[in-house]
Amino acid sequence: MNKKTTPIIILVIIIIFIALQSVFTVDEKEVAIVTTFGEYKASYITPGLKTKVPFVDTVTKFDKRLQRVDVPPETILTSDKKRIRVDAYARYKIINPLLFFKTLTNETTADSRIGSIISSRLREEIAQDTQDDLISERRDSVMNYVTTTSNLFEISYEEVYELENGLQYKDLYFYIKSPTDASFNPVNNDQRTLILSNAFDSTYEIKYFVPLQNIWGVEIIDIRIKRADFPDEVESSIFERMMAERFEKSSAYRAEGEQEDKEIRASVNKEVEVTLETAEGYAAFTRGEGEALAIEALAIALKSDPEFYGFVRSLEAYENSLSGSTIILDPTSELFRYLESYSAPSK
Amino acid sequence: MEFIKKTFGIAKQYRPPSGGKREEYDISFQEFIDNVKKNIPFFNKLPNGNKAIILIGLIVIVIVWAASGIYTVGPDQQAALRMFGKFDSIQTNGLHWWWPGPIGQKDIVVVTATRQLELGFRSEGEEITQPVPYESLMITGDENIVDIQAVIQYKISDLRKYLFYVDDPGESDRNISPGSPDGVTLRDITETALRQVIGQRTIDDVLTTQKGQVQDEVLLLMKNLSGEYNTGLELIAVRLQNVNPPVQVQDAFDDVTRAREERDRIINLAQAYRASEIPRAKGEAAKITEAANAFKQGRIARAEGESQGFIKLLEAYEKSPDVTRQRLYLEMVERVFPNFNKYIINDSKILPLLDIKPN
Repeated sequence: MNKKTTPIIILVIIIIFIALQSVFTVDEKEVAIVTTFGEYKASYITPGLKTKVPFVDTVTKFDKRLQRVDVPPETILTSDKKRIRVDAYARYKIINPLLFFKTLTNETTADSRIGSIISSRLREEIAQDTQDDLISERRDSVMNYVTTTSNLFEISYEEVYELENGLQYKDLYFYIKSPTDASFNPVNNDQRTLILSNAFDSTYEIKYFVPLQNIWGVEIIDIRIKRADFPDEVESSIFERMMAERFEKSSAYRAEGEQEDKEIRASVNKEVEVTLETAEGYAAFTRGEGEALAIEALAIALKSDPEFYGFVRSLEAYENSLSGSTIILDPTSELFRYLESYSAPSK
Repeated sequence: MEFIKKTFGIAKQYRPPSGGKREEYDISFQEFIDNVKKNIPFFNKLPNGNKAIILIGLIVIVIVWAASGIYTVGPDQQAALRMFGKFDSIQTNGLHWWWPGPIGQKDIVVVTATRQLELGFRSEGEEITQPVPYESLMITGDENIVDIQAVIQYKISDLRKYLFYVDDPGESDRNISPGSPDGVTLRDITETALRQVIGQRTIDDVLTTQKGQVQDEVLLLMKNLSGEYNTGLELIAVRLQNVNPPVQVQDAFDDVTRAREERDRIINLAQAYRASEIPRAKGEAAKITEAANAFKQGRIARAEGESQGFIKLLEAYEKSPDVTRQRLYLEMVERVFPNFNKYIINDSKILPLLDIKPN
């Protein structure tokens, strides 16, 4: 190195240093704002290589990805006076880095302030719902409503006149409550026109809202109740109720078994008895019929010579019934006609 | 940028089949030196010896720096490329070059693998090592509590969204790095969806018949939420592993099962009684009726036979009635008398005095 090149090298290093100071990158995940001695100069929403005035401009970067805010679990009383522990979370996104920087400064502050907004909106809403609303399918619409209202920032009547165009500010929302209503409701178009012309019924309370993104530069994308549980202290009574319900079920099953058993056996016994008695009845009838037919068949034959039938039938009967009997005979009987005399009987 | 373009030169611009527009910087060594000479004004003013050293030094640095931009993407991976922080493109498998830092950044991520998230328990391999009741106990629509362990299967479907759209603290025990939406975000989505679906059903439906429906509905809800949050995740399946009543009331539930089985057993026994008693009765009845039928038929047949026989006998008898009568009588006597105890007494008056016992 000679003395001619040294200053050149130093110069090159200085140039490189200045060059590095005059550019900065905005990442895909970030937005950035540039300030000059604390004064806002520009914001960068799109990523890439950006330029700034070296040493003078300060770059502040924020995360533009979807952010998560955890709403710590809280036990809240529902409208049907049940205590329920709600664990919710929200997602928000930085829409306007300048407003965000001015009002919330950094993500930590943002998380806690957005968290407290959501938490209070959630409390208000849950106090008007039943426990059933929160557990069942209506939870979805409840959450959509909370998301909508959380994206609105309440301002006072005086603050309305600090807005650009005052009451005519294009993003101003009105919620009204009549003396008889329980809660505030959004206005319809007619009511809005009346309010804008300062002609609205003065017995109504009016609340004024501007979108949260106009104030803080953030948009709440979604609020969800992750869990709506019974508080720990009521858990044991829930378990007791569950056991009682089960006992009811098991007793019902046992009784049902007994009932069916008795019913089936009774019907079987009945069927058996009926079957057997029917058979006996049929048998009696059939026997009678058989007898009758037999008599009929014999009667035809007997009618031709009843006396002879009697004779033949008697002989048969003697033969079948008298064997082994003791018989005392009179030798004068017809049977012994030839026992004592061989001559032909006299006529 | 202009300086770099002039020095390295743009060889060509082309449109790869995957879409988009790419520029390739490809020039020879000699051209590079010429470019350096042309574009760095003070270069030629340097003394010759130093020139060479500085030039070689610069070239080596540039080559080493440029070489560090070579990377490979495995077949199961994708690379998301950024230049000065701005997303450029997604590269799929093969050998590639991209600007090394600080100009370019690249994230190479395995995307094809199916990943899973466990809810209500943690496992190692196939073994459930640790139940997590805080996650698994939830309220049903009829205000009971049910214990559900589930597995969610998913993969990365949109690497750009996955990397840049959602902030997430990550989950260290699952090796999910901060910024990946399959950490706390996916767990939030899963819990929200599952608890909402279970909250619409009774405990009996959940425990018995509606497992499949619950899985389908949870998957659908999760897909909606995941899409709303731009997680870049594709949810593949929701599997309910274990659906049980909480341990505190398990016995009561088991007793219901036992009672139901008992009922079924008693009913089965009663039906068995029916199955055996009825055929037996029918058999008995058949026996009775058949006996009666037999009696009837026999009776009729016999009566008919007898009457036929009598008619035949009568026909013969009418030809010589007296003789036939006598013959029939004597024949009977012949057959019957051998079996008698016979006393023949010719004075009927003493008969009452005799002590004759029938035997």
